[in-house]
Amino acid sequence: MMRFIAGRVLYGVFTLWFLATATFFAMHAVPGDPLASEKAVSPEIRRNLEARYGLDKPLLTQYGIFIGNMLQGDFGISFTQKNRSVNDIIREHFPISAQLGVLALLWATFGGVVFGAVTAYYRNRWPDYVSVVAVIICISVPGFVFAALAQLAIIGLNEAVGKDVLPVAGWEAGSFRHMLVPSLVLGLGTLAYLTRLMRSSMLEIMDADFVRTAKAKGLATTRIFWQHQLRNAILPVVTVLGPAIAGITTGGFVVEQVFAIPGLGRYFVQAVQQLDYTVIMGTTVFYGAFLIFLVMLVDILYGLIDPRIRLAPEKLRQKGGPV
Amino acid sequence: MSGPVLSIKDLAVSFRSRQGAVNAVRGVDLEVMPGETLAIVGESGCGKSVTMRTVMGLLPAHADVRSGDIDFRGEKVLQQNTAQRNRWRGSRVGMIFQDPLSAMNPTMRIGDQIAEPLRVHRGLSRQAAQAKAVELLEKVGVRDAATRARQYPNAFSGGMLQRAMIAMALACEPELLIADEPTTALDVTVQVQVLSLMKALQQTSGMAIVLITHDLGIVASMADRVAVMYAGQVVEYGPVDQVFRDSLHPYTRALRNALPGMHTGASHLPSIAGQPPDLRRDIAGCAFAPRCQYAMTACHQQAPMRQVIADDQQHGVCCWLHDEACEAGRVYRGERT
Amino acid sequence: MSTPAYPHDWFARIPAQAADDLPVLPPESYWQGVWRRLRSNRRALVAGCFLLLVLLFTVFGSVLWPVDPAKQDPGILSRSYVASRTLPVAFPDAWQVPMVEMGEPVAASELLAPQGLQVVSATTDAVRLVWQPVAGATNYRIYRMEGRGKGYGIPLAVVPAQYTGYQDRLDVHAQPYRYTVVADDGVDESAQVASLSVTPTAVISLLDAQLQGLVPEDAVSTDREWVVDLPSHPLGTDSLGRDMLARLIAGGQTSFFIGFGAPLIYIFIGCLYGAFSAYVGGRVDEWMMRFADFVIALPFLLFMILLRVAFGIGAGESGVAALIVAMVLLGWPMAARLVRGQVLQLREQPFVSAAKLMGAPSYYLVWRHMIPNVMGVVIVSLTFAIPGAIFTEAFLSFIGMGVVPPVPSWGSLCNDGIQSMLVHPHELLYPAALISATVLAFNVLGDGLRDALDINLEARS
Ligand SMILES: Nc1ncnc2c1ncn2[C@@H]1O[C@H](COP(=O)(O)OP(=O)(O)OP(=O)(O)O)[C@@H](O)[C@H]1O
Ligand code: SF4
Ligand SMILES: [Mg+2]
Repeated sequence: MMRFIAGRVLYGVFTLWFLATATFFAMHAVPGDPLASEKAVSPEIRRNLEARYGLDKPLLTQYGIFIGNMLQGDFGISFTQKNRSVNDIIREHFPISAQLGVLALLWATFGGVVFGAVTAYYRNRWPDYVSVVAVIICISVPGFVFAALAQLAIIGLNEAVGKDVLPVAGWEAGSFRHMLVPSLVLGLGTLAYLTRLMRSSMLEIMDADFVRTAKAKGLATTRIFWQHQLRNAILPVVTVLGPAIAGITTGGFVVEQVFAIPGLGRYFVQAVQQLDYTVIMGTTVFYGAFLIFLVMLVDILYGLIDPRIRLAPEKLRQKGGPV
Repeated sequence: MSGPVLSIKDLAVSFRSRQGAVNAVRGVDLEVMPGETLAIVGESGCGKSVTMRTVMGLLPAHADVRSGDIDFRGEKVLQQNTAQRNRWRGSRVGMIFQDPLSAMNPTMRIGDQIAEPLRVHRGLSRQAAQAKAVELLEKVGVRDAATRARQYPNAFSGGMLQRAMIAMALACEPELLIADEPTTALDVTVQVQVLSLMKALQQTSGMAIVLITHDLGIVASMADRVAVMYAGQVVEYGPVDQVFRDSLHPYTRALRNALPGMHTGASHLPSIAGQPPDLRRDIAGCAFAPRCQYAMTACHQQAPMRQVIADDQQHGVCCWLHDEACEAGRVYRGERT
Repeated sequence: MSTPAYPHDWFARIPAQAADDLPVLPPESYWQGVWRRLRSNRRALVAGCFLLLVLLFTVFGSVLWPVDPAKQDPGILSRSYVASRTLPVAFPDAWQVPMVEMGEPVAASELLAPQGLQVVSATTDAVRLVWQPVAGATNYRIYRMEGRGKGYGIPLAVVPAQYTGYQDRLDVHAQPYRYTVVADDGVDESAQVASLSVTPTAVISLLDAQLQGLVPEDAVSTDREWVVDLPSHPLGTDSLGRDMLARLIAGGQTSFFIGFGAPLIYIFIGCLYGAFSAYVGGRVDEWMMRFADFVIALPFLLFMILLRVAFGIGAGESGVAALIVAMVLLGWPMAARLVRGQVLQLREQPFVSAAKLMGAPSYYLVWRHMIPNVMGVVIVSLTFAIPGAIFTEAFLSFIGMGVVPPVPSWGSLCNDGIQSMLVHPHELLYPAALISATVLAFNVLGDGLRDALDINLEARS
């Protein structure tokens, strides 16, 4: 087990290094000049600016400085918002994204497991048909469409009731009303995906030999469900938790935009659109580290649940996940 | 206690499929006596497993029991619901399966899986059940049982897993053990060990065993009586030596004759020419008729009745050749030339 | 025991062969079976037909509906439906606003309402108003109200008091307006107002008509009455007055180009990679697969964004190529894994070893066994990769990282549409519905194909 964990950690560190390097060189490969947006700068100011952002040094030196700063957790200063450091931006806006994401992940995993198990039990009866159709629709409709529809629905609801039952957009720290619909929208795609996964794995498990053994042992149906079926059926769901988290994180970019939520995702998208290099690099590496850490955690968790994986770690990640 | 432990009468089971009903079991009669070992042999797909799964209530949802009656010590199995069955399943009747690796829950410790029936049926505490599980593992010959009990199935070899399966099935000291090809997935040497273990356990506990197998060698060495199945029916049954020595049914004879040599060890169920019938069709006469070298008009028209041959009422057969009026039968049996 | 009475030939022998009437299923090749199973799956069939329609729509749509998706029709912005119209061309004519001498200014409270407010002419090109001078006015303020609402509406202009007329050319539509004219003293306006309602007649200005090539450059108003036919916009227009239908067709072309192009390339590359890896085996295989796993584990969309930024796009480029390259760089490992697994599995199959034993040449093995078997998984993964790519494109275009305007894609159309979603829902609705329905159909078809390719599934159920 220790070897397994050590292997995972090493792998995660390597992936993170790769991501940081890729980010750095991607940013320097961008055609055009990071300072081009500065209006009519005199050569002198320009030199100052270049010195401030370290752009005057050779590329490899810049890379070394970049990696060094990353290791110290220093992401530099924003290009477009001159007096804000990237660390400040992350510190201020990431918690909002995280709250939204955690709530969405909760909806998705609990909903997925419960709906999946229930529909598997009602195989070929109407609850199953309804959920199969709902799932494929939810998988096929882009998140921003759901976000837009949800906003329309909120407006309709508010008009019907005559007062603001739910806010159409915006954010208030700690206000569950503001989180509810965005997190539902954010989790919806993953929920559908997990429902589908859970359903098929539950169907497979229901016919599994060891379930037959459990019946032959004379165990009650409920005991078979909890002790034998659920635990095994959940395994595939656990394997895709990593990709699911990644999906919810990137899905947040869209949902935060539509619902005007000041999360990190919205800032990231803005930075990308404005080519704010330091913010892009900083947030990408931050997001990368965050995702890689969570995926690592999920892998280790999976190793704990499924003894088979510890012996054959390559079994992980053979199934695709949601993007 | 006298009288059969298990008696199956006229059992018919079919599966719904897109191409119509598959009549997997078409009128099986069987009796299992206390303490005996009954072997069931027959080609793949002849309904051995389905029959025994019906006894245990393990049929999939798309299976229908068309008719029949199953009696286990007064329990009218077919009339019972799951809860009623669970009073004897796993405690008074145990079952072991062909592939022990897939038959074990991969995410549960071996010890817990063995302890489970003890906790459910005997109401033992967790510790007591665990202790008993370790004891059982020792009894089935797993060394270092205390450590082994804490391991997961993937750490076990096939033979050891089958031992653990046996320990699990025998945890509550059942009166009847149903073993569906318990050694097919194992190496030959391991097969012998597992079978002798079963034999030994039977001798100490006095339970009856139903042993489904393809291996006539195993039948000869393990079983007291044998039932030969063909296309969902028992075509011949009787004490092992009688059935092998005086095979009455042409199918049994074909099996025996096709055997390269029962004493040489290569004893897997030999294949004989032709295919078993399509079970989706109605079979009017004897199901073996298309492959039988003795087939007669009667065989195609009407199913043969069961004939009890031996004086002690032990040896029976379903074949027109054994009809009193059949002249050809006398030649077949060597009574006339 | 009495012997039952049997027919006389009851025990006559029948040779075994003669009675052998085992049912023989008609022979069916693998692909015939696949096709039969797919055909019997109604949902997949409907999805397939729908996709065919959508494809025809995007491919031949621009032939049947040859409207330039980039052409702006400034007269009709964000309309949900516009019928075809025949409009007179409004030639510019110099209209002299009537002028008067200004009197001594007086305070606003003493100013009266303008008398005799009337319409000189009212077309969508210009609405011309005149009124009688108000004694002592400094300026006149003109307001315009859409429809018949209360209040003055939007302020159009402040006219010095020597003018007693006004020409409104501000985005006039053929719909009722109410104009209000009120005098002021330079600071405050009078409480006495004059207003009138008018519905301008639809015309097209000469400039617009010439820009759209409906009227020759040298057209003169005196030779005849100019009348032009304007096309309809069956699905309305967007916020720049561009035809939605044409944009949906063009957007579909972009989306499908990316949606088909990227998966086709990366699945092809993946196949080669996977097959090579399986063929070479050993250490090389191990490292190649480790690399593939590594790429799979990268956070996909994050990298997509990064790559998309890194590739950048120069002037005049649409960004489609950059998107495809980024997708290919990240997309190939899944197919590689699948193909490698399939090849390895097949190599162990008894029928392959049997064919080898029988001395079949290796190209025969590859042609007869490997390709048909690998084809199955490849086709299925393709049917799932295409909607995935369409989805990714939509996502990136939606956050402004996809194709660059003016080139439309379904994703960028959604992005445009969501701005005005609450007022003009049709701009979001159509592209969103097309993306959703297309992806849905691909998913349903993919499910059906996967089931159809799985021989064992039929046997199991
Ligand atoms: N789950 C099932 N669904 C549909 N048909 C089934 C199912 N299980 C068994 N059958 C049918 O029932 C018939 C008998 O199957 P069964 O498993 O009892 O054979 P068997 O004698 O145990 O063969 P084997 O020696 O291969 O185990 C088979 O021909 C098969 O077609
Ligand atoms: S009944 Fe007829 S066909 Fe059947 S086994 Fe006997 S002789 Fe052969
Ligand atoms: Mg069987």
